[in-house]
Amino acid sequence: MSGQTSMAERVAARCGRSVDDVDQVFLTYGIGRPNVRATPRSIKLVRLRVVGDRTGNVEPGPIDRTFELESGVTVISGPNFRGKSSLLELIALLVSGRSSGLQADVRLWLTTVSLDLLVNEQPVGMRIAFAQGSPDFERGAIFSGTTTVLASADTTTPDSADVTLLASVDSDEAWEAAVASFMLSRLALEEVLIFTGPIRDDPGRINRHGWPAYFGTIYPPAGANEILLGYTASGGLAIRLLQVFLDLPAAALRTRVHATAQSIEAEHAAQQRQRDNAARGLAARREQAEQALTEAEAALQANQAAAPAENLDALAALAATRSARYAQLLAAFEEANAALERAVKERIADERALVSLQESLAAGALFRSLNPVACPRCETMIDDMRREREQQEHECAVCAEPLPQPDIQSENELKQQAEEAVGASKRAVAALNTVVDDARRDLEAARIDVQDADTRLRAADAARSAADRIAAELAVATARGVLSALQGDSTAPPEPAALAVLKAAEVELDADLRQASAAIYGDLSAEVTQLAIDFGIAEINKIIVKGNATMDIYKGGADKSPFRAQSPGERFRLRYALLVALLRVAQKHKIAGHPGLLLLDSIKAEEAQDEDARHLLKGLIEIVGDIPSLQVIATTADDQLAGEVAGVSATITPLPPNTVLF
Amino acid sequence: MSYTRPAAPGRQTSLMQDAVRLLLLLNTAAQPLPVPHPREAPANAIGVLHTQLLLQKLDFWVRNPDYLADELLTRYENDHDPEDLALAQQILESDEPEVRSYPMLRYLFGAYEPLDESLAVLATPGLVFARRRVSNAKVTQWDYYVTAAGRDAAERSISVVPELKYYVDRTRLVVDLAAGRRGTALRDIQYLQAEYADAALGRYIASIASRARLRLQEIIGRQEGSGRS
Repeated sequence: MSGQTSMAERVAARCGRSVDDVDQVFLTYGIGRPNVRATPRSIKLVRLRVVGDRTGNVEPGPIDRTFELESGVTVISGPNFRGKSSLLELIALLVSGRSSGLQADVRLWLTTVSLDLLVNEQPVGMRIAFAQGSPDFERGAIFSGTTTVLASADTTTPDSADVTLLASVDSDEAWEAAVASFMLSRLALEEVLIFTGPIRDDPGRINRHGWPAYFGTIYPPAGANEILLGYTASGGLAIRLLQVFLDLPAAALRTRVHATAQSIEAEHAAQQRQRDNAARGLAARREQAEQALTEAEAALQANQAAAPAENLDALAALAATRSARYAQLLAAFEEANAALERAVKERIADERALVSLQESLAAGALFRSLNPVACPRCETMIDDMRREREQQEHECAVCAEPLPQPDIQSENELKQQAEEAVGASKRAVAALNTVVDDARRDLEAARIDVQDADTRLRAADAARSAADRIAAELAVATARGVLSALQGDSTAPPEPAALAVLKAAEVELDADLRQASAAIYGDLSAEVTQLAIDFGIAEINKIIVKGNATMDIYKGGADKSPFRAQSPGERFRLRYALLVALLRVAQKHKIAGHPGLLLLDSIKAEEAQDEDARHLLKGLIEIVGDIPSLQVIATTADDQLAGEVAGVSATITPLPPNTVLF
Repeated sequence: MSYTRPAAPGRQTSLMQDAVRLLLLLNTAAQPLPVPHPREAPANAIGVLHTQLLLQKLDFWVRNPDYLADELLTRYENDHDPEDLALAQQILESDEPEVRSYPMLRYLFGAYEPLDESLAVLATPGLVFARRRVSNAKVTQWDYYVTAAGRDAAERSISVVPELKYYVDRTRLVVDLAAGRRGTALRDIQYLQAEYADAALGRYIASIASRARLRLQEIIGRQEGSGRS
């Protein structure tokens, strides 16, 4: 492994940034230096005491039993359903802080559970009190003190000066937190951070795995079919646990760096996606803004084009001249019209006169040609003598007055004059009609001229308006501003600086890790192979444990097969083989590894046959002498086992005449 | 005497003009005499027109083309005979209402002009005789008889002065428009015109030419509007 002082320099060199920058990133994200080697880890159970009052049909009565626990294999045996598994679950509740398998009636019966244990050789007392006659958690406490003192302090509230109270809590949740905190710090373990995701819009998150995850390597969960290591089906967690127990310090750091880098990367990717979405909206808005700018510029241009306007004074003068001319022409037109009207009246009068004259003359001629017949007054007939006198003497046949001779010549002259008058007045009307038409045409032309001058005057006036110009310029400036603001957004942000640093750190740590782990994994594989044989798995040739927490298993000349392809019973044994191997490797290399405690509930290992459990237990008993730091607490339904196999440290059985353990 | 002098002060027409117009009007409007020859009719009479009121009203329409055209428009609006509209249009779109109108004075019974002189002109050569008939002791009715000589003279006047045919055509139209209605009925129709009804006694009845022309435009405009839609 490279020296810790050079890590920041190596990372800086790899990502092309200054050492200060790298240190700053490490500080920001809480990336510490690789831990120095931890002191060896160990947990050894010393004494378990249960106190309470058993109720129900099966052997009711007061409970108060103490179990002294030794190194090596302790076998808990007895008939089924008599408390064997409950003992392991009580140990789990005290050591891990929680128990998923402890039955409610057991909590109902018990009032106090006391467990003394050595953690890294230091005596620790763990106490839980349940409410009287109820499964409710009342109080939990963690003490330190000598083994002897602890043995006499089976209460959650000791008053001995020799006992140091490390924690005192009053709920299940607080107990779990207190135990986890205590164990992690005592065993120099860190929470394992595993990044999961991203899924769709969820940028992913970092999951924290604490002490319960480590406890999964002490008491593998029942029914954990394909989980090689740990308590949950997370590949990342298994890898990390393997690395912790092989004491590869760079591994913890590498895991943290990796999770942090992944988190930052996912966050960056999510931001990028949001930015892409925003960019699409931005493009549409930019298009609108460009359109607005084009329109505003056109408006301004139109305003400017109108600007070199005709001289206002000249235009005003022109308009005045044209208006005056229009007024003149209007007067002329009206005058011509009036003249025409008069001429028409005259023509009508002349025509009337002509008609009257024609009719009068015609009538006169008609009546003159007729002979008088009777007096219009008395209707006396006019006689021939009167008519003759009229002819010869020119004396009226009716009234005897002298008869005037008709002046035909003067009548014709009158008629001719009247006809000429009509002709003259008609010509006058025609001439005046032409005059009026011309005047109307001139007037219309003048009107158009006036209108033109007026339009030009107004256009010039509008162009002169400074407000219009300013408004147009303002519109252009606004549109340009909007457009530039929209364009300013469009550059993609750079990858966060921290990400480059973290990725570089990951590469460096990987290199360290590979270098450090090569030999250890070789030893681990050899140990697992041997243990698998010891645990009675048939035809094992070779097992290779890999850094990604998987196994390649070679059996009976066949090609390799993975852990999950083995039978349930074989997986059960292989899991314990790996845990024991971790212990052995740590012992051999004198590194901090597995704490050495294994809980084995062979009865509850439902996936395995009794025979598999028996093989495993026998194998454990046979090898335990080689591993002084190993303590195994195992349940078995096989009463004979302890007698058959030499090396069992202790047996826990019901105290006759009872059939129950407590 | 001058044939062209006005028949009387204030008159628009000469005596001879009035006489020949009345001859043509009576010759056209007179009804044939019944058989046997009526006892009160002159021996050589061939047709008669009853009542002075009817004669005056018919003469009013002949002398006032604007009133005649307006009455044609009224009949057109009732009966929708396109010939009436065409005639009214022909009159109003010419200057006939100005050239050919001889306004009459307004008297108690409407338009009235003394006819004695003109009738004397017609009676002397034995063309038309006016006879007064007394019925119910008080009411006097004038009957106007046209003689065979009157008919000859009327026809001869048209052949000598074709312009006079105007009165024959107009009288035929007026008689058609009167459609056998009595003089009082015609007077009532003529009274519908405000200018006629409102004219003070002894004053000229004013022209309605411009109003009639507007009415014509409206009618034509309505027709074109409905023709388009």
